Amino acid sequence: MQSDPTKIKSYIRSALEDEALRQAVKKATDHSLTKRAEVVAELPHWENLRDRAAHIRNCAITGLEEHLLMLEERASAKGIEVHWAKDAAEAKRIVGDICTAATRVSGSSERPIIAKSKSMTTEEIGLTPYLEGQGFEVVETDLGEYIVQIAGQMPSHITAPALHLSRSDVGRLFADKLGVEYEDDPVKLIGIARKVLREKFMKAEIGITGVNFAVAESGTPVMVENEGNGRLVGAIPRVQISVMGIEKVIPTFEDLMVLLELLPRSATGQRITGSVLFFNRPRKEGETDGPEQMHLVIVDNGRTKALADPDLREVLRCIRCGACLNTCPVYRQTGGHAYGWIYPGPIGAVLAPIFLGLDKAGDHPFASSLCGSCSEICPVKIDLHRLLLNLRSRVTSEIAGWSGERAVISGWQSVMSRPDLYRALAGLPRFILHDILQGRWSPPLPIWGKSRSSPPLARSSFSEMFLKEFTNQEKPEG
Amino acid sequence: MEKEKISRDEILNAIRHATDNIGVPERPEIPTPVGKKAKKTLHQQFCDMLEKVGGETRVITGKKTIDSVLKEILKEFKGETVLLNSDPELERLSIPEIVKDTGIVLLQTSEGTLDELSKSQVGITTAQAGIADTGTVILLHTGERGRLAALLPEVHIVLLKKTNLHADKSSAIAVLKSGNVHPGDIPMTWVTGPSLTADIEKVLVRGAHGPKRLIAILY
Repeated sequence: MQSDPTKIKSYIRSALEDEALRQAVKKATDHSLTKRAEVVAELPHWENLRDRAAHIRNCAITGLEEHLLMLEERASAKGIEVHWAKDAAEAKRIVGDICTAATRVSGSSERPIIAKSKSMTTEEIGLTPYLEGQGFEVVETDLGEYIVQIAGQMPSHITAPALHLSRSDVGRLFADKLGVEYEDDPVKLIGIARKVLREKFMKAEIGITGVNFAVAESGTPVMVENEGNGRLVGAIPRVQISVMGIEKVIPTFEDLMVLLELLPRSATGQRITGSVLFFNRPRKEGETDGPEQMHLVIVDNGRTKALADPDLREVLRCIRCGACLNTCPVYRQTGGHAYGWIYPGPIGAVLAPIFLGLDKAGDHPFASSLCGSCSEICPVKIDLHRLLLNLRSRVTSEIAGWSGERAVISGWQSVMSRPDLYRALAGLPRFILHDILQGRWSPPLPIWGKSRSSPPLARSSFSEMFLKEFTNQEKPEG
Repeated sequence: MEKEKISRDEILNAIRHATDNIGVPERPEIPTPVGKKAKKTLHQQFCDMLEKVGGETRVITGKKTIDSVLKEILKEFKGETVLLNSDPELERLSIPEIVKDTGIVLLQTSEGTLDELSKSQVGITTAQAGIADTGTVILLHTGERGRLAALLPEVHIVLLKKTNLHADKSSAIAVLKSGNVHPGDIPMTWVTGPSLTADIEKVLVRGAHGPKRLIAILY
């Protein structure tokens, strides 16, 4: 599995050569963008909603401490146990300890089953491999996520994890891993997965979910999904653990209603998701289903670093819809795996340097054409391309090994500010190319040139041609 | 636990430190959206929106009684098992009697094992509210009104009072908040249409994990 963020350049190169992958990504992202445009067009006040949502998320972030404390207080009061984790290691240990304690009681000899619904935060902290190492069987129950799990891959998109695979890829995978006959009808493939996963659900002792929003005023973790797997995770297992980043908290239900208008439309082109789940409290005496024990794990893992950075703070507004991936001309060519990290696309290229450091992910902000399409589409108006530009300037000024580039730029600066010098130097390559080499050579442009062809230099410069044309013309009267 | 307490304080300190110089963001000038005046009644809107996402609808009017509509739906499930919550509203509507009349086996969610429940083909529940502009039913899970009857079977029949329909999400939440149950206090599920996935080549497939069919009866 390729998952090394430092190798983004080589991953991108191989992705560009993978015609089938590019077809699949193009088809899927086009589909999402078309559907999104349709449902956005139904709301004449879309821009108004974006402004409101940006404001709501800003307020949530500036008052983060207050909201998190209220969330903790209200959730605890309803019997949800709240945990705090500074980093990935601590979050994994907390979840692992809860799982171990919960299954020790049942004392079964089989590996206890954990049913997981899709969650980017748990991907980010690497929860599944950790729990598997602790002796649990962890089953991803979102169908796309299940497909990439049994393929031994990571998701390639925030909301559509298996977007890079075709129906025949999935058919071969199921035949190989599940021992069923090859089949490439999506309806039948989904039927097979439903059956396999339903059996897992029936035996699942623990359910793990993500959190799309956590409402502070009532201590409510909220999750949206379409398949019904989230509903099953929240209904069957005895113990439910929800994992959220600190920035997912919002003050009120009224705020939630605005965000629920934007998230499904931006993510999947839906007016609302098939289910919206309000994990309000554990099961009470006499109730027939739902978890007896509920845990909420609040994870920092680099987010307070972003919060402390006035230039980058707004990235915490993100509601993980994935629209910026769909619209990004880079993502649309490469797919998500090329980024070598769990968050791809423009949002990932901003998060990577913050979470992983400039040394490991310094190349990520450069995987962008700075066209601004991401900023245009973002439902909470994060100025993504400006953040990318900001990070780029940090990379060039902070990372060693760029001194050569700095020398070139300062040389360029002095040439460009002196017309005589510029004219003299600009004529030189044309002279060499046309008069000495007779046009049999094109300049070797190392990185830039690898994926582009350079047009031959013109015989004479624009200013030379302009002067010639101008002096040949008759002077106008007067 | 001790270590977690330390982490909690460290995170909160880091947040305080990072945010203590940021002022409260100024609320941008946001015009109140001019809502389109709906020409249709709420239940017509609800039906249109639910049907758009693949749900089915029946409206109880005049001669069409719950009894006749339900029997009509259940005709094709002869010999199968129907899952019911013990819900006072279902009792009041005599749903258990209607089901028994059709010769269908009735199973209460509180009475079966998980395996038995999951073998039922149809689940019948009530919804406590609905949202017209999205075709959403709101299920509040209290007492024996659990989640499974609406979730395990391939067909979910949901009964919703027309008077419990609200125009949109915000008005639904406002009404719930003003009532005697805060929407943040009871486990709650909003369901819109049958369960769906588009995870293979964006092909829309119904019945991913939950019901393949959702039939709303408005009364």
